[in-house]
Amino acid sequence: MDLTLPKEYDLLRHMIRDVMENEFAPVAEEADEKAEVPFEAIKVAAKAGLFGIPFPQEYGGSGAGELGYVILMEEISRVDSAMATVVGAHIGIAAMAVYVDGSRALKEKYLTPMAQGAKIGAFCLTEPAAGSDAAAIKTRAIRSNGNWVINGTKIYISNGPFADLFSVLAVTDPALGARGGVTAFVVEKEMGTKIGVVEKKLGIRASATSEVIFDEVEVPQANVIGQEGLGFVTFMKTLDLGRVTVGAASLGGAQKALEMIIDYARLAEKYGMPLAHQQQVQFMIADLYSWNEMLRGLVYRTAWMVDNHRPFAREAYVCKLMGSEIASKAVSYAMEIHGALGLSRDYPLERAFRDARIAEIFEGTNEIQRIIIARDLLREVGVHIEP
Amino acid sequence: MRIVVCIKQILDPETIKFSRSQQAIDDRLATRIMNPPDRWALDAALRFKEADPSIEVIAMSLGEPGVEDVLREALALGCDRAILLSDAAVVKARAAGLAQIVATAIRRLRNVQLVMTGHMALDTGSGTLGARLAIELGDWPVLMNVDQLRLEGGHITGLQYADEKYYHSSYPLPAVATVLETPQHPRYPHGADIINAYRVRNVEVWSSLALGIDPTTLPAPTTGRQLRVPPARQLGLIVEGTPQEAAQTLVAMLRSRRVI
Amino acid sequence: MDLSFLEQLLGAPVEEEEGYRNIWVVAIAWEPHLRACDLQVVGKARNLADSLGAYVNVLLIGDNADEDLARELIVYGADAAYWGAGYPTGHSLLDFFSQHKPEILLFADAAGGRKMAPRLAQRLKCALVTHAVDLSINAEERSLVVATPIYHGAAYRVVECRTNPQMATVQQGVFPVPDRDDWRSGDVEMVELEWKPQPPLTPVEPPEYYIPLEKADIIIAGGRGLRGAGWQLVEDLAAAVARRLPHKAIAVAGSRGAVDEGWIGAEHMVDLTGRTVAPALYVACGIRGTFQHFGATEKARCIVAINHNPDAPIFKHADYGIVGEVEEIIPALIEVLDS
Repeated sequence: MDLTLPKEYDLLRHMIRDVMENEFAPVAEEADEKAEVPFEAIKVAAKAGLFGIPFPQEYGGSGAGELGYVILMEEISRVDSAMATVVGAHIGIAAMAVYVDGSRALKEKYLTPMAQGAKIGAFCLTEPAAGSDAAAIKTRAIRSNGNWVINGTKIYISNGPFADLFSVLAVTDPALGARGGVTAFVVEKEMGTKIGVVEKKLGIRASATSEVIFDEVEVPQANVIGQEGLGFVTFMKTLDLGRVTVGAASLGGAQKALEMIIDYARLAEKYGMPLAHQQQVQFMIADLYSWNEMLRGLVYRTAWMVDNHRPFAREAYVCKLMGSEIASKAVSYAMEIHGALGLSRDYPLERAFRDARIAEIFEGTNEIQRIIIARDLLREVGVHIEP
Repeated sequence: MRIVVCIKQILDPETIKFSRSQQAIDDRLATRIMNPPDRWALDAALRFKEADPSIEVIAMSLGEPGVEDVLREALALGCDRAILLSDAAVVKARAAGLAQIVATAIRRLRNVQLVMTGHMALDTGSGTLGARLAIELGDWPVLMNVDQLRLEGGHITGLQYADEKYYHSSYPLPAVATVLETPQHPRYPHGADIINAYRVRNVEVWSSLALGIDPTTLPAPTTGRQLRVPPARQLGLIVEGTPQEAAQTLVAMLRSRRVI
Repeated sequence: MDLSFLEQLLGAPVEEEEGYRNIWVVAIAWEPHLRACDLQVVGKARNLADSLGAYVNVLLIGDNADEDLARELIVYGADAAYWGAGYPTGHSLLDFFSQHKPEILLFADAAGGRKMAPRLAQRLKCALVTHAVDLSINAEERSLVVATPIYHGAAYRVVECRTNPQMATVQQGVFPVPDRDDWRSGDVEMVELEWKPQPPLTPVEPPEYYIPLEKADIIIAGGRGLRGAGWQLVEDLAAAVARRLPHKAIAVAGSRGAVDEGWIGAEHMVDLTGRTVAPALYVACGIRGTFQHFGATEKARCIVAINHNPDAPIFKHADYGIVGEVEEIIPALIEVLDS
């Protein structure tokens, strides 16, 4: 069993860290304060290929696979969780949907510009009445003159306000529902999508989230991702892949929190000695380190399973569940140790604290993750639980 | 024409630790990186290539096989070729002999008009390779510590830094240039080029034998045994004296550490 | 620096070769006066020669070299001074030293020597230790022992030279300019070397870059302690450092106190709640020091603190401290930097 990373991944990590520390770290605080996406830095990141790390080179990607993508998300989150949301929504779900089931022609047309970072993608699944319960979507696509006409409203769409391309799930046959009646499409902004309310958020403020409104948007037949009626399957496969990297992003955030805790404990003096001398603080450091190492093993192994075509869906749920909870715990610990300083708007911990909460929510809330993991395990022993 | 950029692999000064008991560098935890000033040299060379695609940029390094990693990084950044000079004689060679080996390799390449490298190696703090190579290559002119390099009309021009001032300098090719770091970050490699640098591309390994160098003719290492004495970082030293005396002592101390 | 450990150094004796005697220094007169850095080398060479029982000979070159300046070198400690107005070709320099066979050959690590020394060393197929900050003689071996900073001054490498000649360039400003001794006498001789034309060098404006605080090489920071003295002192010190080192990225910053006073904008605040910095040199003027401030500066490779209060916590976190009034210390520093 050889667990060393191939050397190209070391260099890849080195490059990503360089980009994050030089281009994003200096602007992250201001971007959060103003709730503005740092487009200048994003341009540099796109030029270095950061928007297409996992995809094959024939489609403008780096060819680094899920392993490269995990490294990307871990390194981005060490510096800027909001950017992890931008990249995660773009690569992990919007472009990934085209990649997993799109035809060759569709990939050439849409995956390539997304992988190059020339076009930014958004993933349109959630609706007012369909969040974690994704099968309940109402957005409707109706055939008309060989094209499709889409009507409906998607909400909480990451990258919505500035995306050029949208991977959209819509009902094509209400009678069949999620089993054969839902289709995935790629929709261009120019086809007539509208941006609704832009959310004012607690965390990940330097990413943009909005409603995306489809009002008689006409989409060519060629823009169907995969087979008509099987869109739900495409989106679920995509989300499985995305979950692995939510775990990776959480790992980056938790690692950063641990570093901040150790730094603070070493510097701050209470009762005449550094905080680090207190056992209570030592316990926190030891626990957090242990959880991080556990998460690291899990996330990297799952990435390996993806790249080696093993079934990985259940592990992906665990990555998302444990990752987001460990990251939240890590920033809570950091808050506890930093005292009043942790609450200061001028200190980066406050931002990390606000940013961490989202990971427990998006890509399926943690409650849903637990239900699915349990049902999957129970099914193996013959217990079938209907929703 | 061809440009050769000489790059060095060093222990990352940010991660390095010193073992005080053994009077040595504890390199177990240190990562190995490309000498940062060499990145600026590569960047300048690759800018020439962007302006004139007929220019071929060749990265060259020398040492143990592990040095290959910095050459792969150079390939990822956009170099056309990467050459590693590596064998027992090479690994043992020091300043004078090393310049001889590199110069022999450069001559072997033919049509090399410009040799570039960083203004210093951050590990040894020395920056003499450029000047030594210039001699070995047949007394080529050398621009030391330059910024804002340009190639025009068969000349290499730039702002040369020396003793607190910048001077405009221009020399006819072929020439050697040692490049300054600037606050402008050099280019980042593209992710795909990083992957390809390892999976597709090739680092050529040349030995001194293949270059026709007889190791016995190389100058023997010419300095005595080296001892590294890392003084512990002593905080809290108060510089005494009148304001004038204290100021003088302080400036001398900072100079002796090469902080200023 | 304590170099007593050098006594532990053992090594094969240097082969006695005929004629390699005396310490030589190459000095350059770019302008019609001697450079301080060359005099510093001459002073150090004098010490070494005395422990070696050798002479100090100086070769003075450069457009402005003349007999008067050569005579000045004697006054500063040389035994003999050779001079020629112009810049010698590499070959004639090689011939000159092949003929005079220096045992030790020193240059100031400054314009001229920085280029000439490695070129000459290569022609001699010889080692060269650059940026020497300490030089001494191992009397048993008759060899030059040189300490030179490595890894940004995090440690020193000590090299014992075994070549003929033993060559080094000497870091500027480390050794004092020796005292004049107008009673000294020595030989002054004009030499004929092969001169090469040197294109006139006209200084140009340094290139300008935008420097974020995080990328600065040197940061001059001020705190509340500047209340009486005025913030301008910090700016003046930064300007003096910039004059001295135009190729370095130099920035001005403030502690939380300075920002609260409104002397400098919050975007320049060095603090855990502001910017975390990692310069080569951080100079804290009138900053008492909180742990939020230490946390934001501890990656600095060298920290200098200037404060009137000897009990200020900053001194425990600084490499070098000067206790005194900032309005006296900073002008003195500016004067030294400008001299």
